[in-house]
Amino acid sequence: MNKEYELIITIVNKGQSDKVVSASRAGGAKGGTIIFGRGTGKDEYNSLLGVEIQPEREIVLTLAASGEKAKIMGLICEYAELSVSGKGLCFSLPVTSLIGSNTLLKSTIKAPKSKANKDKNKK
Amino acid sequence: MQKRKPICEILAIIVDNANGKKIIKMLNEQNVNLQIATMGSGTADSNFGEIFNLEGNAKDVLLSMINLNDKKNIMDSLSNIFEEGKVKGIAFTLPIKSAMSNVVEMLLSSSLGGKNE
Repeated sequence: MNKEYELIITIVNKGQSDKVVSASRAGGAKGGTIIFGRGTGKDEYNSLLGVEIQPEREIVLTLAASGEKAKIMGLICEYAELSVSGKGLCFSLPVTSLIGSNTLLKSTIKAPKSKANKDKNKK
Repeated sequence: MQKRKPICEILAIIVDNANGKKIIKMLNEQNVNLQIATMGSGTADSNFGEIFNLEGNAKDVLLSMINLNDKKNIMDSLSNIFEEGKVKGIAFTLPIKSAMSNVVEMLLSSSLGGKNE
């Protein structure tokens, strides 16, 4: 099967990844993987008593079929309120190869008709 | 700046926490020298998990830079590991449009395969 996938990367503040995962599932994705990071932007860190405090981030990686990507990203933007300044961002990267996708495909493909059924329908 | 045809891609592998070492061992055998490992959390997709309020599964997220010449062998090895059933996970590659640093070329496996344009 030659199906194209894209990796949706969403970066949000700590504790907001649940909204992103909910949005992804609503759009038809299986789920996601969450990794953790910290913001290093110029205006992002504060200092308390001379100690730098960098805001914690959650990064959600979601694999989606190319045809569903736009819908999923729209839902992520809506659920996580990404249009509001400071809430986060979402972007996608193309995937050139993919293996271990059986769990992804389970919910998105239909079983092909068997040859016997095809011949039966022709008659 | 010299322009070359793409010679490498990012390989991302997400596996259960206990199996990251097996994958790293395989990648080392395939001479993949540039690797980053980080911890992640999978999102439980079952009513069982939601009822008992279980946290997501711990995952190993491995990011590597692989030479396109070695890509087929590496993906075949990964495919075999996943098909055996002992390791459950997913692997995918992302294209790299540009990369800086001479170290990148040194860290890639020996056959570069790139050509100057």
